[in-house]
Amino acid sequence: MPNAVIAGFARSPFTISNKGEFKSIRPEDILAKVINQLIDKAKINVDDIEDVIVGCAFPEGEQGFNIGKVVTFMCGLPKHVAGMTVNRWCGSSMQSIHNAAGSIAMGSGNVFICAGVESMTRVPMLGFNPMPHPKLLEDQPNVYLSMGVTAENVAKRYKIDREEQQRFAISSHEKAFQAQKSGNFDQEITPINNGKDNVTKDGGIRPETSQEVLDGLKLAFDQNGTITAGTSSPLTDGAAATLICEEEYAKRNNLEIMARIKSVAVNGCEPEVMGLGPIGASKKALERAGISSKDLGVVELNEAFASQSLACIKDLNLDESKVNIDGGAIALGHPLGATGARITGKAAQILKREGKEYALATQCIGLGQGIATVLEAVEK
Amino acid sequence: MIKKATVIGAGLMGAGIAAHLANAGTEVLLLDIPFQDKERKNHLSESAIKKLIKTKPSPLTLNSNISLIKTGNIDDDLHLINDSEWVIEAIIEDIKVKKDLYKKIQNVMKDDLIISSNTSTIPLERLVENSNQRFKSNFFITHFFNPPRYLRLLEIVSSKDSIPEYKEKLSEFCDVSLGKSVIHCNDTPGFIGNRIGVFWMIVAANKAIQHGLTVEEADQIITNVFGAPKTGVFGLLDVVGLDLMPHVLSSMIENIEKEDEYHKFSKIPDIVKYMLDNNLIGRKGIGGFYKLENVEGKRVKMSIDLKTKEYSLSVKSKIDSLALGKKDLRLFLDHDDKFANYAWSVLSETLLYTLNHAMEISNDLISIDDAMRNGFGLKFGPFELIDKLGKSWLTEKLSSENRNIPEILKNLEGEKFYIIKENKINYLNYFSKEFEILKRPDGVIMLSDYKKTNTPIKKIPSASLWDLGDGITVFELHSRGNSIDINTMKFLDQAIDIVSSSFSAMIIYNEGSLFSAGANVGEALFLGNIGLESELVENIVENGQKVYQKLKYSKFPVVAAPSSMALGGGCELLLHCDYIQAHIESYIGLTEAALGICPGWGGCKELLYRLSNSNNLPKGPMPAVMKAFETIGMAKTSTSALEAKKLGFLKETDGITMNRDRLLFDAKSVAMNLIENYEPPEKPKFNLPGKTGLSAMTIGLESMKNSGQISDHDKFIGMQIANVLSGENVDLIEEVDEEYILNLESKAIQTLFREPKSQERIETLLETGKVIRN
Repeated sequence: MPNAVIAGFARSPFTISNKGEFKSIRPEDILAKVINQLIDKAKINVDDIEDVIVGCAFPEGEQGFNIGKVVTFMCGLPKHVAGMTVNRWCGSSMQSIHNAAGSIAMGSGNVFICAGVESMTRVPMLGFNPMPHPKLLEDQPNVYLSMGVTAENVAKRYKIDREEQQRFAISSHEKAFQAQKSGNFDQEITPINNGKDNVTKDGGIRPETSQEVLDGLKLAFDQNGTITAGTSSPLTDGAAATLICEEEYAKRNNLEIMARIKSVAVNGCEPEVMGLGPIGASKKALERAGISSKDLGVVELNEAFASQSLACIKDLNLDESKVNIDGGAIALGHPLGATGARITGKAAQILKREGKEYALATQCIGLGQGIATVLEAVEK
Repeated sequence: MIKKATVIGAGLMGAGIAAHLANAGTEVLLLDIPFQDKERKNHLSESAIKKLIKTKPSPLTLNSNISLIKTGNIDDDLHLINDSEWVIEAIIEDIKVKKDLYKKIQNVMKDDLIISSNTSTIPLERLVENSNQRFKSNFFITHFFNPPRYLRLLEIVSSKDSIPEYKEKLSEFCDVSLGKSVIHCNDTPGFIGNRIGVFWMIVAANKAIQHGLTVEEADQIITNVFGAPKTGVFGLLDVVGLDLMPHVLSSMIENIEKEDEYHKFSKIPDIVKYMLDNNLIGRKGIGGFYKLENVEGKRVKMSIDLKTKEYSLSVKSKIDSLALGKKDLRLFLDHDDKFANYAWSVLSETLLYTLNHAMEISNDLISIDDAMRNGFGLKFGPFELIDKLGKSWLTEKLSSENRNIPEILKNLEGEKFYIIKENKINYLNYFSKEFEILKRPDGVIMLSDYKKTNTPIKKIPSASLWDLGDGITVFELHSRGNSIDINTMKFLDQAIDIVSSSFSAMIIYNEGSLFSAGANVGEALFLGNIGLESELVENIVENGQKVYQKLKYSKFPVVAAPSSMALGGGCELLLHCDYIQAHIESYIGLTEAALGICPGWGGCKELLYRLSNSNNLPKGPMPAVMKAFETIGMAKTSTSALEAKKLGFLKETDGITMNRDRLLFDAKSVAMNLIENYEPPEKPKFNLPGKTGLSAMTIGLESMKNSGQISDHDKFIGMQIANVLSGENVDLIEEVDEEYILNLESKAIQTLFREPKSQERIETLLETGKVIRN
C-alpha cells in the first residue's frame, strides 16, 4: 500500500481577530499566499497536483464558494487541479490531510495540497446564520453548549484549578516567544502584506504574562468557574498548508520529506466535554500505529483551552515537556479551520528537527469529537 | 464647507476642536510642538488622538471619524498648513508664545489661508500687533467653549482689517457644518461669554460664601433663578476646573479697565485658595466642591463646607421660600431671608453688569442672551430675565437700594426688551432705542418664535398641532419628558385626520430638552395595578400600534425631526415616519428591555424591516434578527445620529442636521419635497427564521447568564424579545406581514408586564429615576 508523507509546511502569521493586522484581508488572499509559498519552497511540479483540499470550520461568506477550488485560480494552478472544502469544524484541515492520505493509499493521486483557513474576523464563529435545531436543543441541550462551558466541565471533572491552567498558559506563551526569538517560525511563516504592512509575526504571543496578570482577568464563561480569556485560545485569523505526497513520488522528485503519516483516527465523545476528544482519537491512532504514548518523541496537542489540554495530557499519560515545544494555540491562536494543518505540519517539522521517531498531532472538536494523526520519521 | 483645516495645539481644546471638525467631515492636521524624544516627534498630537477615543462623553460622533485627523509637529510640518483652508491656533493662553507662532506662520502661509485663534480672553488687536497686513486681514478669533462638540456657543471676533468674505465663510461653516450658535462679538476682553458668564459665576460663588450658604443651597437657587443646569454654580465650577479660574481671572483683570466691576471680585476667596493648594480642583482632580467617595462599598456624594473646609455627606437643600418664585420670581426676590437676599444680590450684580457693558461688548442684546444660553446652559439670558421681572419692578428695587439705573434700562420704553408687534417678535436696539424685528438667519425656523405669535390648530395639555404654513403642520409633544400617554396617542390619531383632510404634511418636532422619553409607563403600571389589564392592552398597546400604523400609511408624508433622546415609544414614533431628519445630537434607542418590557408599538417590526433592507448585513434569515436582538435586548442607545444609522434606527437616506436651530427648517424642506407625488409606503413582508431563531438566541442568552453578564430576568426578557423577532412558530419559507409581528409584540409585552421583576424595574424608575438590573 502506498504511503503518504508530509513534504512541506507553510503558514501565515496568526493574528488576533477584529483588531489584528489581518482584519481587512479576505481569507482567500491569505490562503493563496501560503499555498504559493509552500509550492515555491517544495519545488514541486504543479502539473502533478491532484487536489487542493481546504479545511474550513465555517465555509460561508468569503470562505464559501468552495474556497478549495477558488484558491486554485488565485494561485495560478493548472486548470486540471481540483479543489474541495472539508468541514470537521476545528479538525477540518487535519481531516484534509487524512483525506489525502486515504486517496494516496488507494492510488488515487501523488500530490495533494492540504490546507486550512479561517478569518474569524470576517466570518463569525457559528457563521452568519446560526440556526440550531429547536427540538434537538430541547432534548439534548448539551449538543449546543458553548465551547467555554464544555471547557469548564472538563476543568471540574479533572479538578484542574485556575492556577494550574494559568501555569500552562504562561508556559505556552514562553515557549512560543522562545521559538519566535530563535527563528523556529521563520521557515514556516509566509509574510503577508495587508496593504499597509508586511506582516511577518504572530500577533498573540505575550511573553510578559504572569500569574498576577492572569489573576486580574474576568471569568469568561461561568461566574463560578475557573476559565478566563487568558486560559483560552483567542479568536484568530490565519491559514496553514501542508504538502502531502506519495512516498515514492517524493523520493523520486527529491522532495524534502518531513515525516510519514503512520496512522489516523477520529472518535466521538460527550459534547459537554468535547475537549476530551483527543483522548479517544489518539488512543485509536496510537493503537493503529502499534505504539504507545511512551514512544512519542513529539506531541502537538491543540490548546483550545488550558483545561482540556491538561486533561488530555493527564489521561493520555503524555510527557508535558514533549508537548507543543514551539508553543500552542493559547499563545499563537486558533484559526479554527487552519489549526489542523498547522499542528500536523509543526509535528512533522519538530520530529525532523529533533530527530525523534514518532509524533502525535491531535485536537478536540466542538459537538464532541477528536481527531489524531501519528507521524513517523522517514529514514534517508 | 471647509474640506481641510489645521489645528495647532493638541491640548484639551485643540484636540476637541479637531475632533469636532472631523465630526463635520473635515480633514484635519493636528500639530503640536515636537516631543523631546526625536524618534517620536509627533507624540503630543498622537497621544491626544488616542485620548479622544477614550474620553467620555465622546468628542467624536463616530469613532471612525478619527481617521480624518492626521498628526504632525510644528518644526517639520508647519508648511503643510497651506493644504488647509483654515488654521486654528489653540495653544497656551500666553500672548508671547502665540505671537512667536504667528511669526512662523507668516513666513510660510499662502495668501488665502484663514487663521484664527481660540483665545478666550486676549483681544484680537493685541494678538496681531506687529503682524503683516496679510496676516491681519486673514485673522479672526474663533472662541469655542469646552467641550467643543457639545457646547453650542462659538464667538467670532473680527477687526477692521478682516476680509469680509472670510468672515462670511467662517461663520457659515461654523454655523451650518459645525452646528455652532455663532455670535459676533466686539473685540473686548473675554468677549461676551466669559465677560458676563465668568462674572456671573464668580459673583455667585463669592456671594454664597458671604451670605453663609451651603454649596447645595447656592446651587439650588442658581438653578432655579437663572434656569441654570442642575450643577448650579459650584457644580459648574467643578466641571470647568477650579484651576482654570485664576488664569481666566488674571487674564481678564490684565486686559480690563480699572473701573470695571470685575476688580471687585478679583480676590480669590480663602476656601478656593485652599482647594487649589490641595488639588481639589473639581472633577479632573481628587474632588472639588463636590466629590464622590466610596463609603461601605457605595458611591456617595460629599460636599465641602465653605467655612470649615471639611467634607461631609451632601444633603439636598430644602428652601421653602423658593416656592414663592414658582409663578412669579419677584415674590421670592422680595422675600426677606438669606436665600432670597443671596438670589437678589447675584441677580442684581449680574444684570447691572450686563446692562452697563452691553453696548461695549455686543452690537445687540440677542447675542448676549444667546451667549449665556448656549455657552453656559442657562434657560434665560440676562435680558430675558429682566423681562420676567419687568422694568418698573427692577428700577424700583434698584432705586430703593440707591443703585444706579443703567442707561439702557432707563431708555427702555415699556416693561420688556422683547415685545410682540404686529405678530412679530421685536427686540430693543439699544443704540437706536427703537424696537426692531427679530430676524433669524436664513435656514432657521424656531417653533418657540412661532408659538409666541400664533395659536395652535388644536391643543391638549401634552401635545399641540401647529400650522407652519405651506401646508406643513408640526405635531409637538410638550408633556413631562415628552412622554406619550393614552390621551397623547388619541390626539395624534385626531391630528392625522386633521392633516389628512386639510394639510399636506406633518413634522414631528419639539424644542424640549429631549424628543421623547417614550410611553408613559407610569400610566400603564397604574392600570395594571388596579386590575385593568385588559384596558392596558387595548388602550395602550393595541391603540398605540393602530395609531402608529395609521401614521405610517397616512396619505401625507410624515417627517420626524428628533434632537437629544428619543427612547422607547418615542423611538417607535420616529420609526413609523417616512423620513427622519435628525439633529446630530440624537440619542435614539429601543430601551424597553431596561424596564423589563419589550417594544410594543411596532419597534421590533420596524427595526427588523430596516435591518432586513440594510446593505451592511450578510444575507439569510438570521443576521437582521440577531442584530435587532442585540440592539433591543441590550437597550442600545445611539450616541449620535451617525451611530443611529449604524444601529439601523435611521436609514442611510435619512438626513442629519448639525445645527439644532436649523432642524425644523431642514425638516420642513424635506416635507415640502415629499409632498409632490407622495404615495404611502408599500406594506412589507418578512421572512423570519421561526423557532430556530429563538434557539440560536437562547444559546447566546444562556452563555451570557453563565458568565454573569446578565441576570435570570434579563434572560427571560431576552427570550420574549427573541421570540417576537424570530416570528415564533413561523417557518422560514412562509412570509408574514406587519400585523403578525405586532401581534407577537403585544403578546410579549403583556407577558412581561405581568412579571413582578419587570414591575419593580418600572416602579424604581418612576420613584428614583434610576434603571435597575434585577
